[in-house]
Amino acid sequence: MEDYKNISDEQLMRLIQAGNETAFNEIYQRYSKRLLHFIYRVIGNDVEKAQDLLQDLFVKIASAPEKFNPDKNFKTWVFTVTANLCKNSFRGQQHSFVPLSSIEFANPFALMDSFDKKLFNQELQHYLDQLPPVYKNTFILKYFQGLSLNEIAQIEDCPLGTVKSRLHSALKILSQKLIHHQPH
Amino acid sequence: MAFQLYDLIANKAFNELNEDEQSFVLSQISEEAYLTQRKLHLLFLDAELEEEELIPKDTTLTTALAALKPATTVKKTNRFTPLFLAKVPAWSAIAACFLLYFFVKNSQVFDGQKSTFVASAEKIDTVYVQYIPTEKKQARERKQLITTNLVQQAHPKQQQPLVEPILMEREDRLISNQLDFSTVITHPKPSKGTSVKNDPLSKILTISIN
Repeated sequence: MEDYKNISDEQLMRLIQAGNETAFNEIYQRYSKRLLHFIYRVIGNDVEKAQDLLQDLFVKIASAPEKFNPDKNFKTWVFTVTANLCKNSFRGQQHSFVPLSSIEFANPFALMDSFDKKLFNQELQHYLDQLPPVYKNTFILKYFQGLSLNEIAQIEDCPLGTVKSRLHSALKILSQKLIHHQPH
Repeated sequence: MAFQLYDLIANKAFNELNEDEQSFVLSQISEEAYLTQRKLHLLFLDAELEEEELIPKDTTLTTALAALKPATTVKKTNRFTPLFLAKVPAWSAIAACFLLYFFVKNSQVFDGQKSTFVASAEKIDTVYVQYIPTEKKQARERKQLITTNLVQQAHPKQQQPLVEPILMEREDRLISNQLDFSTVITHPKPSKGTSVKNDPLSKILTISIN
């Protein structure tokens, strides 16, 4: 088991494609928690649904591991699959997004002295849920999953400039909503 | 423009911007907005944002492991299989059909006129001339043989009856098992045929009765 910890994700996937359960367990240990947080953020604070989607994701990986090309990056691939899974779960649901044109600049001088991190997280999630899905996914991949801009561009299947534009748009919207939480 | 602005927000504070960059930023947003977005960007990068502890369910791994495929067997494929599996553009398939059509059309093997020329070789090549009539002769002989057999089967030789037929009024009784001998024997005046005295069947019957 110790040996598997030193193996790359791509090599583990090769072993999974050969039916190796230990390799699958290692991949699960590496990514399950991280992906659960990602799904949880994307779908909007529904733990049960996030758990179900995580299970669906790993069942997909287990039942068709050959869909992954071991010559490519596993992290990018698994986040792409997860993002698509979340997109599919969005279909049929009605969401209220904030149009960019409706944003009004808040008073930047209305900053609060205290910074409540827990409250900040709660409000951040609330406003994240109101963002258009493309902004939301990009924002979560960048700021919650810590992925590089190039990785996000691969996952979202869009140019690097588009990723930056989306991030700026998300940042712009959220800064107006969360301005009163900023620490000095 | 937005992506350039994000690059600046992500990498530089407002006072670190040069004149060109500052003028570009100020043409897009205010200084206060830049500062706010910069602060939030740094705040979002803080790893402690993820406060809520989420743990995947235990059943997730077991369910996924149950779906894990066993080692996939390597299929033995014929090395010529890719030739048949390869996709061909429609235009090249049509072109190949045309080429095949013209090849067959111009070919001597399938041409009707050319085959007539081959048949005329009988006059030159004696092997053909001798062989073909022999076949025809054999066919004729077989035909005759079959005809003869059929004729023989259709008209077999009739055997002469041992007993001459007798005309009687009630012929049906002769066919049945119980014959009415009195009728046969005591017939007063047979209009035609042999007399009872000279009839061989009557003789036999009379002897058997007595």
